[in-house]
Amino acid sequence: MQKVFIVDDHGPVLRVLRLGLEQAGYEVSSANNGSECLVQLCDQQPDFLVTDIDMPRMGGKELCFAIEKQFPERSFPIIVLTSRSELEHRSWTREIDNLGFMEKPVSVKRLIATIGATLSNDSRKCGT
Amino acid sequence: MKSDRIGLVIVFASLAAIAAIAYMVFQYQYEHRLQDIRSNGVSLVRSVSGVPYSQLAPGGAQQGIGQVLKHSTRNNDFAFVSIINKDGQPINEIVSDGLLVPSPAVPTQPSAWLGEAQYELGPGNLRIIEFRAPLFENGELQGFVRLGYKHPDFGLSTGQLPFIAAVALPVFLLVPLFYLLLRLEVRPVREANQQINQLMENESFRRVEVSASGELGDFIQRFNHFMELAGSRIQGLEQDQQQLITSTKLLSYRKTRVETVLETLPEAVLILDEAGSPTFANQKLAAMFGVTTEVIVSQPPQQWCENPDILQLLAKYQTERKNHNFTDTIRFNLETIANQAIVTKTYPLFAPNSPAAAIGTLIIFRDESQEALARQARTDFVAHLSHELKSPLNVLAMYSETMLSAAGNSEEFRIEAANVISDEVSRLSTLINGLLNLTQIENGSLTPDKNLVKLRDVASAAFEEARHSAIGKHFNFHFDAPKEMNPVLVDKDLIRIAITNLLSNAVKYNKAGGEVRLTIEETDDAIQLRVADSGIGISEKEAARVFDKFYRSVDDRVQAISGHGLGLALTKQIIELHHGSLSINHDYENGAEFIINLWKETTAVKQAI
Repeated sequence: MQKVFIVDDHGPVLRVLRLGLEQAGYEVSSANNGSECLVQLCDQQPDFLVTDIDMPRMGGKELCFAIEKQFPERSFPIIVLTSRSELEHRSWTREIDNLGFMEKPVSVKRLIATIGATLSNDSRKCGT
Repeated sequence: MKSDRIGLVIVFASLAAIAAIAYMVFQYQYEHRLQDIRSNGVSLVRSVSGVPYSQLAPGGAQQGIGQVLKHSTRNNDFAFVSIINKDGQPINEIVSDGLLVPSPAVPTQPSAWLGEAQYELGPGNLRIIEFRAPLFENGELQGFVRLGYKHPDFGLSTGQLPFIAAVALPVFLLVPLFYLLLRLEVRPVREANQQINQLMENESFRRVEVSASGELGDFIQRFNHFMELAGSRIQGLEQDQQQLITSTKLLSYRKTRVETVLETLPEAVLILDEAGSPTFANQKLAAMFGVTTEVIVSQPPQQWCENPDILQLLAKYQTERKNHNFTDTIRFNLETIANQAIVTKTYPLFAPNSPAAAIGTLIIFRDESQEALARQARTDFVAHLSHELKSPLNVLAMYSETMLSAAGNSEEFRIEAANVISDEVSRLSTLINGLLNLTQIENGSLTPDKNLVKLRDVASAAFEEARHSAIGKHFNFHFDAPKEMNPVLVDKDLIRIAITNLLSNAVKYNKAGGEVRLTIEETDDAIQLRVADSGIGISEKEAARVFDKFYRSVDDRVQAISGHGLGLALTKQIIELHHGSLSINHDYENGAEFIINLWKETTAVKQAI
């Protein structure tokens, strides 16, 4: 079973995404912020990472750069859920490979479809 | 004194003239007598030389010729006459009284037979001039005739005294006369001199009133004409000088006015002359670079500016004159002041009567830091707002979509979804209301509906609402307010929002089992309302920013709690709309305490006046 890691500080979002993803057949892990995610990441070895941007302690942007630094051979794709889609607010995403963004409000169905499509093209695991 | 000196000079000059005349007379007399003696002597000895020697010898027919020679000369001048043989022995001689005939020097050469000799005789050094001639007998030299004269003296002789007196007397008589005449002639000059001295002392240019005729009269007339011309010219110069002073004052006034305008401008200003050198800098520019304006104007730019962009800009105007005709804009940051954005705009300055030629450059240094900060604040605000709006929308979208799918089919999920949607709608509503209120207050479009209100009642209602919302959280609520309070003129709805926000924060950021305290105190001037909690508190560093819109503490304990960061900003705006103040009590150590001061109406009016 493929594993999706969700990072969001808002409980209801975590719950509804977990419900949708589990219904779609994924194993779901979650964290409330970037710091918690980094701690769990190696143990969990996810196939996909979905993260919010604005979170306490460590936001989504900082999390992505931290992963880029700590896991240079990362293979799992990342999707960032962002409130703003303007170029200036997502230009940093170009600096990181295998990373996409999805603008809020997010359709759970579309998110699951994107995860599914991405994972069907890439089944590699995270290497640390 | 001066005229006395002139008199003495005249006396001495006349004495000198008399002496000179006497000397010349004596000289003339001396030479004339000497010449007489010489011509008389030579002619007499020549005459005697033609007489045969034998006739002159003792016993000769002409032996009395000596007496003839003696009487042929003036008694005073005659010294001796002597007939000597060719051996020099005197054979006949007549001598003036008291004299001796000097020994003859017999000449041997025929060329020296006829001649002249001079001697000095006796202790008185009497000078004798002698003339001699040969004497012959039958063509043979037999002797000589010697005729001696006393050499005439150079000097005054008693016989000349009448002559000298005749010359000196008129001179001595004429000298005082000339002197008196001179004084009379000089008097107008002295008067004129005194008047000129007075004019010089008074520094005035008037006519000199002296009655004089002749050349002095002409001189005084020309002098007066000159004085009139000079006075007129000086008057003209004084008028020109006055005009110049007036012009200078006017220029100075205009310069001061222009400088005042340049000082009043909100921007820092630097003016360069056509050579690119600073000629004026206002105080704002000096403050920007941390120096005095004098330093900027008098010192090279390297002395007061370290920024390479500015130095390059100033150097450009010193080296490339053609750039005077262009307006330039340069943006840079001053290293001395962090986060300062300076925009430099340069404008060529043209002479009013020659618009083609630039006479300098005006450089305006505009501090756009505030604009930059405002832009950043607007960007941050939109980013925050977008996040705050889209986050609940995102939740609503996800839950509604899931409810429609198979995953959301369960009863349990529907109940959760209903609660979540209700919470998010409430959150959105609070956010939108807060934003609307804030925007209205900031725009000035919200006019508070002020009425006399019993603040205790408003505060009590907000307190009860907060207590109700915290049921089950086991907080200790304390409400302490005087039972009787004077009504205050406020918009009760807005004040209720403000108190509710503070109480809501006190509940949200409190510790479990903590305390929430609302205290109202009334003084003569104001009503003070305190909302205190025993929660996580506010650090001094964050206290400066907690009233900013969308600001939320980076503290994990704060971040873990849902919030928009609008409550305190709105509360502050509401209180300030009532001319009150909202502050944080930094001395409160148990948690956070916010203090609202609302001035009573009479006090507010007094303060406004």
